[in-house]
Amino acid sequence: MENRQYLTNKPIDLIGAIESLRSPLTGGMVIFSGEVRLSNKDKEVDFLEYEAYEPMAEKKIGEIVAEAKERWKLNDAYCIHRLGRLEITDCAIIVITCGVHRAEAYDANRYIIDRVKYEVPIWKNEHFTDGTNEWGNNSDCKCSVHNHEHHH
Amino acid sequence: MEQIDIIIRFFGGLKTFYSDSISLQLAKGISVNEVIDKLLELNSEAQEVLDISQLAIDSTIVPKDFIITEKCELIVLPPFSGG
Repeated sequence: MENRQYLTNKPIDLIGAIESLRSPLTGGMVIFSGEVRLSNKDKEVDFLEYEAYEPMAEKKIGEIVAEAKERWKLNDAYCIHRLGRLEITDCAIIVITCGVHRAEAYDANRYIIDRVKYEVPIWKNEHFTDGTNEWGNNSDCKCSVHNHEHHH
Repeated sequence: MEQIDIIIRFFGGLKTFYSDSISLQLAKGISVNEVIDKLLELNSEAQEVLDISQLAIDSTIVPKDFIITEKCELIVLPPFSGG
């Protein structure tokens, strides 16, 4: 997976990503998939739209993944975020971390998703079944990388 | 006073107050803060979001006292909501 892309307008190929990251050196692969759920804020979600400031988002996700690989001495790590219209149960983002053991793969995976949510210029517009829509805001996100409790 | 072209691009909820982008001719040496004031003159209802937005030039966040000396694309980044 050289010259990796971190953003895509197409459905994310989770199985393909897992296969491409497999390695004889890896004892623990952790996979996070962020998916579109039916309800938010007591309202029924119809669909989501994601947009990004793409040059900066690509660069920033690449930096975060590289930092995690270095910090936890991972064999590999990958993250890709989908843009455009997503339906309920679609996958919006995956984070895959590959370590010699599971502990570092779990920790690095959480680190990557928390930082991507908080630091990467991507925006979600939630469209509800009542016809309203609302732009999201992660700035009140209590991420572990910012030393708070966290519940997604 | 010399004027420069600044293209301002908006994302997320800020597009509700402005279009996707606007182009302004402003004085060379203007600060990012002063550009924000110009945006508020165009639509004061955006203040709450602009107050918590970051600004970027060439994919790099710039402070609000950054001085703009040449034509550029200024990106206004409201709070992120990816993931």
